[in-house]
Amino acid sequence: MILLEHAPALAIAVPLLAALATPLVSKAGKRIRNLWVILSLAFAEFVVIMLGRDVLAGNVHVYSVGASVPSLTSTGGFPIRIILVADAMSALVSLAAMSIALLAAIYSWRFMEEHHSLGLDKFYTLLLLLAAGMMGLSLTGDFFTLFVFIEVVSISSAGLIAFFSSGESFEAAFKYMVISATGSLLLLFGIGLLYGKYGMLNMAAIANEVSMQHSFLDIAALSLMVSALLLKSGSVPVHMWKPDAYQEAPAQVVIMMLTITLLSLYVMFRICFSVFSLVLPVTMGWLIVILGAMSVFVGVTMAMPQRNLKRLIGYAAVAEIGYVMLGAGTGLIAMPNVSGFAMQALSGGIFHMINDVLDLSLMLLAAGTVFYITRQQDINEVGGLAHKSGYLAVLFMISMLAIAGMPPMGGFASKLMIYESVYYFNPLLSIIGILGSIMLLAIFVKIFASVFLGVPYKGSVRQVPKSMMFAMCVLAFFILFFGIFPNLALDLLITPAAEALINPQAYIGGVV
Amino acid sequence: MISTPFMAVVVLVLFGLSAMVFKRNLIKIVMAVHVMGSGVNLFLISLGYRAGSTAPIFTNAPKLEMALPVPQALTLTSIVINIAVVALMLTFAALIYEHYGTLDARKRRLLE
Amino acid sequence: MTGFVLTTAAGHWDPLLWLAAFIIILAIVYIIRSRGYKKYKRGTEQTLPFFSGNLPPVANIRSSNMYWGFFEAMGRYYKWLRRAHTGVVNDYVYSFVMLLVVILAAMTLGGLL
Repeated sequence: MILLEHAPALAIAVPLLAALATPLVSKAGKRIRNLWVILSLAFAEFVVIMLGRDVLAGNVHVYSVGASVPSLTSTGGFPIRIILVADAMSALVSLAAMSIALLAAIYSWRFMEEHHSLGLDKFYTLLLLLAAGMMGLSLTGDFFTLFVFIEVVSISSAGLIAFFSSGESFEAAFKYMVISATGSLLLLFGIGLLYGKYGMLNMAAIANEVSMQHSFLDIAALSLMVSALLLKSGSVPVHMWKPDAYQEAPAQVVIMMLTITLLSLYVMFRICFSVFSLVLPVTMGWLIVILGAMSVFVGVTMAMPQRNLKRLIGYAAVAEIGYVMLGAGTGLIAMPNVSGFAMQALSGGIFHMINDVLDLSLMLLAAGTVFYITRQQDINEVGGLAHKSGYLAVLFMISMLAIAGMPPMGGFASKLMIYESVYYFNPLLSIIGILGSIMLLAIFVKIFASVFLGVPYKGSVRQVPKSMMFAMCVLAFFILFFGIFPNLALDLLITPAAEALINPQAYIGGVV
Repeated sequence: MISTPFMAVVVLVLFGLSAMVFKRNLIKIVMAVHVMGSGVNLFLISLGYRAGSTAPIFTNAPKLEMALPVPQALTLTSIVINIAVVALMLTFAALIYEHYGTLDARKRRLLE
Repeated sequence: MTGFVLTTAAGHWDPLLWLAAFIIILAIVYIIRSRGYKKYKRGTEQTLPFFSGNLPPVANIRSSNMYWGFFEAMGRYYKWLRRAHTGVVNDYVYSFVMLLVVILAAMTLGGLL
């Protein structure tokens, strides 16, 4: 039907048009504007779910923008239009991104109400623009669309980081924008190098051509693109913008920035696995694995002495990125014949991407709720909140156990897969991973004890609103669901995605 | 020998990167981002040039060898994006000056 | 429906068995705890925790003091780490350029071998 045929374009277009119409709609009142935002994101979520169901039935879904028939990709033998491609991996990450955007919009119904003097219609416009950018980033099929949507995402998140208009948030937004602009310009340089060599910008067409010719230009373009995408995802040594940005942004914006981090990792895997699959030297896989192990260690040790709650979660997010890179880098080392342990490592890495988004989002929303009910950011000041709001303590404990990788949460299943398979390749990296998990648990026990237990807080504590509680409960439900039934998630969602990544011929054949 | 536009690209990009590392003033850092952006735009344009070709417009074309039009479209997009990025960064720099009274990048406020 | 067992390449992980074991252990703990001394009256001083004669604490322990031994033992590493995280934007770009150089050098050497 028509919704399914035009699904990739609708998934990008609906949040974009809703974003541009929000300043007009908000003239009609607060409630109508909130409903407009949530309904447009819900409609886009419905479109993405239908696209996902069609893709998981087994075919790569391509869409060329502006053709007479949407699946007419190549008229003269090579693809000529902007082509949006959705295979199993893209469908998985776009579903995760859209769900997080919808939950962020539901959460911000009550969270942002007291800041209405700062202009909430502009906030919702930027939020919808960020959601549209995330969709474009996950559904892209050629390199220049990738550059455009990375810039859309960077500019909207920089505007949202500076939303609370304190001096520190402007400084964090400035630093984020400078380093983001540098990374994107070098990404464009790499894309230009690839265009100069092959004359095409489409990812599948270049994947077809790269298997025949291989020279220094390829290596230079790949290094530039990979380092720019590592910058956007925040691995060591370019992780330093993450704590600043996560500290200053509102909590629901931080969960969307977390998803952007994972989307840039997805794009890097798409380039390494599908485009440069056959000519990739083993060095790239080892680089990613070593940088992942360093990210785990530096992220965890730097998170221990922090006092600001969201800054600490920023460093923990750096560590979680390290786990994904450990898992998927091990799969990359074994390309092009990935089986047994390497396949398990890749599946573990992808499963950990989804679990990471769920766990850290729940913890960030809980931290935002703590800030909302007590108006304090420093964990030395608050205490004893478990007496006032027991549900919040239970949700925080669920997210804490999930990040540290304790059963029966989902984080344990994916971390188990990563530990076992990375141990097979190199025991030292797996030991660093396990130590990182233990130290993460230590950090979060400290936070839980000082925020929720102990002497009760002397200031006034407000009630937790129902919409925020609803968003957090949905996330907790999915964490527990993926923990108790990991086999279901693996068979339905993760294994098709991993198989789509390691099979570049299916990706090329769908487009060319 | 490498032809002149590509040497100019290398000079501009290295200039922008080194100015971003060594200069303290926030406005100079923004200028360095813009210079680097100009370097990358020059690279994209000079990718599409073929020797002895003219503008890729069919109406009243003097000859049929034309430069590639795709990099010109990419460069236009990149110029527009760079304008938005530089405007945003200058706004942040102005607001930082209003809040703190200094434009020095080394006087850090967010600790650790 | 397939079974609820996650089969990894080196073993099994069955979350339902784990949950069953957890509930059984909780039940055992509850039974042991309920066989306690029933003569204390609730709400009086007899049910408070025992602090060896000292008064119960009224001040919150600052959470930054919690892992003092860990920070002391890794003092040199932490001094180097805090010096690396300056917060100045010039250093951010510098580390990005270093990452780019390292990746380029490693890929060139790796591609030639």
